[in-house]
Amino acid sequence: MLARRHEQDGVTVFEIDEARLDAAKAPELRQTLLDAVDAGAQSFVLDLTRVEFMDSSALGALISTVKRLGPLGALHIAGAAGSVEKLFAITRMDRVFRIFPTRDAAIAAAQA
Amino acid sequence: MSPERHDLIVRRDRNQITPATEWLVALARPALRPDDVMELELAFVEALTNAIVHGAAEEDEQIQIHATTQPGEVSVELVDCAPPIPRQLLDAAGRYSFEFDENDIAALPESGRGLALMVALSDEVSYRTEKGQTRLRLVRRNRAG
Repeated sequence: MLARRHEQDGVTVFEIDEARLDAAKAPELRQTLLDAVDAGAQSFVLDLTRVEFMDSSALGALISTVKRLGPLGALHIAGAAGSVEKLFAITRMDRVFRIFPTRDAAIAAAQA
Repeated sequence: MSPERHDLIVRRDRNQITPATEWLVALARPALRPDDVMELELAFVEALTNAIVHGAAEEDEQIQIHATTQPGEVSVELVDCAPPIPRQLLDAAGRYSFEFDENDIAALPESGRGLALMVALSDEVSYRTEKGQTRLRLVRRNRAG
């Protein structure tokens, strides 16, 4: 299972349970998140605390999600560190996603 | 210390990306600083993914990976029988700025960053076709800072 979905303080949280998100995992990640959007989610948290590595194909899955969410939705990223944080910075995607150091901070932002 | 050469052959299969990358990272760790290993890792994954996803139609086609390590430098070459990457794509990757219009997220491309990342995170990128084989070589050195 790629991600565990649960509700915390009224916010939908997807906790990624993989250390590496690359082209082998990106299609499942994309489908999981788009299914959530299509089911009505408008603002949710993606917890990347366990993710040690992410490539551009996984990043593309997140971009697909934020585009499907549209201007009224929001994808909050929690726990991006090391290589993952660097990927967001190099590609400037830290200006697209709302990125927080912890899940609690991301949840608080999603509630606002 | 003289350069050390290491070789690996992988199937054209997305599930080979992680083991091949772990192999390269283990070789690179004694040669490069941690931040440089991290960036080489991403450049390599993007190169290997491109070879696997956009490579030959034959799924059983193999990809040879040759890595050469020495203190402060790692070079890695991917050799396969895939059709050549169009020259203009590689040139465009070198010019890609990652800039976009923050007010027009709907227009944000969902793909197309892989080659640009590969180029940005490598100190040298060379590409040639020879006797029906394509050879993509990346070099990463320790960077200042």
